[in-house]
Amino acid sequence: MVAENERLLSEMEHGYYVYGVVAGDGWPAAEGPMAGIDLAYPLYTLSHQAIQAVVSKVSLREFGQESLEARINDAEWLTAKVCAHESILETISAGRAVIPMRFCSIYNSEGRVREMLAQHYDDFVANLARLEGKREWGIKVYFDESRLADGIEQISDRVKELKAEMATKSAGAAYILRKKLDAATSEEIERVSNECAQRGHDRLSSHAVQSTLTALRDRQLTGRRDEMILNGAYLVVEGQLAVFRGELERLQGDYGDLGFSFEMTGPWPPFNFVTIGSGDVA
Amino acid sequence: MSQLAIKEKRVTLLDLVDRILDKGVILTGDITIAVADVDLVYLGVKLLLSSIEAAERMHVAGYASMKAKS
Repeated sequence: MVAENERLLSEMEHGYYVYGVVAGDGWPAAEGPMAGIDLAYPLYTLSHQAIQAVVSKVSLREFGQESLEARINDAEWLTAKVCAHESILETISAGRAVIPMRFCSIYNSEGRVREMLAQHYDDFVANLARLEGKREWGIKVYFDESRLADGIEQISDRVKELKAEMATKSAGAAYILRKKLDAATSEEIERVSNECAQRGHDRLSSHAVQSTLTALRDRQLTGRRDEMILNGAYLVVEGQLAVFRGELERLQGDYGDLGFSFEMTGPWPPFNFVTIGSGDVA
Repeated sequence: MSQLAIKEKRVTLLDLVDRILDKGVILTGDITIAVADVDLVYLGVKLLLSSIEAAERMHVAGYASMKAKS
């Protein structure tokens, strides 16, 4: 009985989960009720002056501090909730700028959410104004080293010369040259791959309002055979998207045959381009 | 354009975990989740998804034993 009472009592306890902050008042009145990350409760808004937080109630049995600490290691729960967080943010951000909050930003009361809005009000307003009409895109570049090794002779005079010289030498001298050639090939591969990452980022950045480099992920994480050499985020004005895509296609044209491949994801809420609290641009 | 098309996806799981767990505004909420190692969390998620895919191939019996292992 005691356990049952405790269960009923704990079900009455809720947190207030904040997904993001947008301008205006009364979102999403026109779109009808939509379930939050805790499916039992719909999204609604809490406003402060000209901005509003999109929130939903969450059960503290699931979203309390201790429970969350255990669940972060539960991949099944985490996958479902990360996807829910993203899909809600996507709905919120359709056609308007949004300040995305980090996963599981939960407050004890509606009053605490309003306090948070008031405390950072100027920052929220300034960021929303700056992000209006812009979307974040992710670009990853991967590179297949063996494919570049096969083609390096075509683009490297140094490798080409060494190969030509080797052909004229005796077996013993050719052996020494082979060592030199291997070293030169590795150096050239590294040079070209650095150049592709650097130029790629520079060229894409030139069509973005802001850009930032994010952590490179190893093969274990990407599950790919080729290596990640660029993981960039770009804040692009909606009207510039065609130009941005065109630049990516030109990069693919310049580097694709050398073993580099390009992946574009988005549009994302501007996760990498908000400057409020400690979630600043990395 | 070269023969390789640019891969364009709406989202990838890696981007998702990267952004939602590691980026975005972090303010001092009353309850927060601190992700010390995003890589580790991502690996767990990936392992789960690949075990689900494997389970779909290997049917239910296979899934039960793989779940027990992970």
